[in-house]
Amino acid sequence: MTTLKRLEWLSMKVNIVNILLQGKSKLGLLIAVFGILLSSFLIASVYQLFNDVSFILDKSEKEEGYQYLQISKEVGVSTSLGLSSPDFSVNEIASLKKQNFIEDVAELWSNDFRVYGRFGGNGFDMFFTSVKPDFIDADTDNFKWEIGQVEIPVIISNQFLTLLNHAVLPSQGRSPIPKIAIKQATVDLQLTKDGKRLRFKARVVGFSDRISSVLVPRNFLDYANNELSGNTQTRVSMVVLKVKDSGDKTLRKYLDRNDYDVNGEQLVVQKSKTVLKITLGVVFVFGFVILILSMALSLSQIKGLIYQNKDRIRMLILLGYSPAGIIKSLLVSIAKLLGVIIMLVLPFIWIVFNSVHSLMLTYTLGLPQLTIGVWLIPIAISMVILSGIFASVKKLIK
Amino acid sequence: MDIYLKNIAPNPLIGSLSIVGEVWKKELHLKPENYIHILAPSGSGKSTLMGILYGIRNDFKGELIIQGESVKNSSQEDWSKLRSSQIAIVFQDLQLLDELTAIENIQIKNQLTNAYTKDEIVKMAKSLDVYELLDKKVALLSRGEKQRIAILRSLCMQFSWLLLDEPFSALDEVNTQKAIALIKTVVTENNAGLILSNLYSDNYFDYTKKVRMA
Repeated sequence: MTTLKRLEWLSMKVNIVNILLQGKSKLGLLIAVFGILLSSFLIASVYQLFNDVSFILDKSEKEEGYQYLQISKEVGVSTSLGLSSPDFSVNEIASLKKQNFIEDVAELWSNDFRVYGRFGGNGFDMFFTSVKPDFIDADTDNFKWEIGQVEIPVIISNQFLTLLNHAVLPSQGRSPIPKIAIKQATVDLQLTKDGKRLRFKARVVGFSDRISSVLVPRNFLDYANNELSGNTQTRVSMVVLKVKDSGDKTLRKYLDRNDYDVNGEQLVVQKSKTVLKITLGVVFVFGFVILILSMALSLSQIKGLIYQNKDRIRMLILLGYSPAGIIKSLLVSIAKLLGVIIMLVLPFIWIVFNSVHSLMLTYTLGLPQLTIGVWLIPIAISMVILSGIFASVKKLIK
Repeated sequence: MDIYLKNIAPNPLIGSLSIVGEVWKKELHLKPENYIHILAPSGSGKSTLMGILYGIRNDFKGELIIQGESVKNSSQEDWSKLRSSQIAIVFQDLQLLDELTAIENIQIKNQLTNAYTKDEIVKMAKSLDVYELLDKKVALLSRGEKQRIAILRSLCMQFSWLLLDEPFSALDEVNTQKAIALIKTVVTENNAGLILSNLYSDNYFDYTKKVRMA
């Protein structure tokens, strides 16, 4: 080293951590950093996956332990020719209710008039159905109508929203509409039959995963049917079944035998969800074990590094360095390192789960969000490691 | 800064302590700006005394009073304040970090105390003839070179007392005189006292008090 370099050295600040690391193998530290990085990413990912799956399951299984299937009668040639009805008869519904693998049955009552809506200058035909309230998997606080009320509360299927936002609007070069905006808008309605006409406005008050339809309150449907067609006997074109096991073979056979179609292959989806749940359970257990091992390994590596420096720490204390200052200096440096790790992990998780959530959207599995827990997990892991290091350094200095 | 030793007896030496010594189990008052020479044959507890005065050891009976307060049960934090602002030391075993360079060893202390500028440290290093060694790892230095680095490091603070435990044991006459000259200058600048322990009687400094340990 030249004299100049020596003088440069003299003007430099000596960092305690640098002093402790000098001449020591950095392999342990690298292993520790990798371990924390991996465990933080892994456990945060598993946590988020759990949330995503819960999000899907919660939406379709509001009532724990039960699954819901929306069925309709298969439309064949005879139906087209008017030889058989696409609607469920009273007997057919009674038969469904008798089956011991079906816990409950809810008819989807339909409108017996034409519904024409106008929104933003565009007109379109619509339909209405009603179902008994305990089958609705959406907030029904505002789902009420009284005679004289112009605004009709409506619950629409989440599938419609997904189609609108990811198929219809993009094809027209328009931006997706968030749920909150949809709830603010009203649609002008014109209900007609045989020269009779009623005008209303419709407002979306909720979204359902369970029922693929446009739901209105039953008293409104009865009122409109009666006013327009004089018919209080509403049609039942679809039925929702509450079952314990949607994959049950007897149920499947019964549905096939009676030519009932299950909406959107809900049976397959339910089975997939169960498999997903079990798989994630296994992943979670492994993830947790890896987390514990990884944290223990990281902590022991860092502790090892500190113990290797026992003499140097003792030396610093002999020279007049404050033990609290040494601990602080060490913890600040390790906290900075952990901060860098967190800054690496979080964007990575964000990127990964944005992709996962995009896929979920594509497959109409809802619109899950990154949970706060995902951000907190790496921080919590860092805090645990920092506490462990603090305890061991304190013990060492004592 | 007055230092009182009141009937101090290191636990490991109780039972084998010499009754003729002037330190153990005696009262000793070390006044500021005194130059004390501790004459101690091998095994009489010379380094133990330095350890007690520097707060490294508290396995003793009796009382050590610094600035009017008993320091036997003082915390590590209290001792760190004394070590960074009141008491400097050259250890017998030097206590340098072999993996670091000489200048790094010095800078560890100087950064803590902000005692000297870069130029002043260079000047002191030159006066001890170790300037050219500053960038070398301590492990590569001879015992005498290490001793001079340890002396230089010990002076990198403002202090009231300088403890020297056989500080020139590995130095030749020329280097001993250089070290003595530098120590005298710095001790005088600080209006400090010094305590030098040695195996034999010496005249390195104008001692105001000579104390025999055995």
